[in-house]
Amino acid sequence: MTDGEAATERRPTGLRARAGHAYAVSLGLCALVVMPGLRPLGYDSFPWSSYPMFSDPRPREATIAHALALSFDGQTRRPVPPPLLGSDEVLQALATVRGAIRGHRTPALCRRIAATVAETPGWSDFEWIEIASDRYDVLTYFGGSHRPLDRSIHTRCRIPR
Amino acid sequence: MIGAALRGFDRWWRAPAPAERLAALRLLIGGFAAVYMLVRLPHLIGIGDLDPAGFRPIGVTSLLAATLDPAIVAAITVATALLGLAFVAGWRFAITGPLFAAGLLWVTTYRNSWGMVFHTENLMVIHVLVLGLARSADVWSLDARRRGPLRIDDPAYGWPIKLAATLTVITYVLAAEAKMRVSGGTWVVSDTLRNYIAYDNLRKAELGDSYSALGAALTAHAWVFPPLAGLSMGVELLAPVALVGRRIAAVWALLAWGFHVGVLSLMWIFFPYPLLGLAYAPFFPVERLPGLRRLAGRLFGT
Repeated sequence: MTDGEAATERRPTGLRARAGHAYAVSLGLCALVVMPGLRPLGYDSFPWSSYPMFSDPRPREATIAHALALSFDGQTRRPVPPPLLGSDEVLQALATVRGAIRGHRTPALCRRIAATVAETPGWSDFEWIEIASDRYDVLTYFGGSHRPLDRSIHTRCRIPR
Repeated sequence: MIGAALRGFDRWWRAPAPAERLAALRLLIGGFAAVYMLVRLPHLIGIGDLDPAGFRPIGVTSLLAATLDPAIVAAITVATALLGLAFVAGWRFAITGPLFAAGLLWVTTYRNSWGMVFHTENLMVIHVLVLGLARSADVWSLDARRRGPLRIDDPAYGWPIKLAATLTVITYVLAAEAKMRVSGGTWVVSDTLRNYIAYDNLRKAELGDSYSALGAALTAHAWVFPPLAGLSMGVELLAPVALVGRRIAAVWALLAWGFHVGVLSLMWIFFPYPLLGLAYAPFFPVERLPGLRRLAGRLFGT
């Protein structure tokens, strides 16, 4: 018998009588993964999700809560990207802005963003930070009209120089 | 009759598989999860500094009444990253396997507990839970090197693979079910997908992020979207066929992968786990991948 054959015959301990473990883990995880699909519509959690992200009917109009940098006369505008809001993810940044609006904390967020923008190269042409909720027609936006249908300005603050 | 059916199910569910296949999944999926932890380490540690007012605990973090101290967040995150390396190496796996799975579950859930639930890491975490609770390091591991070589087929290596494949299938079916529950078949023929693609790209543009120029341009052509919606719904609904056999699994996996390529092209949303093929790895004899075999040989001397 070669070493290889000897190795082939060796079995690890504890393989028998493990059907209980197999089914406990299998049923437990399957139940956790299936359960969100049995919960009310829109339920979501992690990592047990009903994956509702693209299921709701999506209207043509959408309101975006965001932070904008404005030039002195307000004519030039530039959305403030997620890293300057303290996150490298766009949805996290959106949640930060929405949370500040809901919690009436937009002045504090505005000052924080302004301070960050002031220290970031490439933003010297801008004078103000504005936190706003802008409503758009999503289908005409990319046809050239970036103008919102209407706006709600929550806070405007000056970038410290 | 019922007894025979249950025995038949047991034979299918716990069909013997080579220990190398489960170990290969540990290397691939655990390797991805470990790299994820290491690459995202600064971001995941930074979560501890987020404004506590935005904390919305979900899943396992529902146990918390308030946010954790940033130092504790950092300690758990670093410990999980180190456990990830032990998981991949198969070092003291009976302990480090479940611990890494639990740590990854905690860290990723904490990251999703700030008012925005992401859907890019769910399956990775679920698959790591499966692997962490199974005998995934009996071969191709430091544990195996200590114990000596081993080469067997056994049900203990088969059911975790079947479970991981089944959980992949369930997640796709759930995504279809969510759409069907809300709008039935009209989701395919309505403007919903077109509006979502337009909305998602607009949102990114107005939040100062990169967006898909292709997706943005296509939204001007309404006729493109019902076929795309039908295809994506079909891929999700037909996912269970992947459990029937390897050939049909290959066809389905290719279509599902194409679906994620479409999401990337049109919405600039990168789902790395399926795009790298890892979501579909449990359907295939991945232990035969030549590169993986060579890597295992070099790392573990097998």
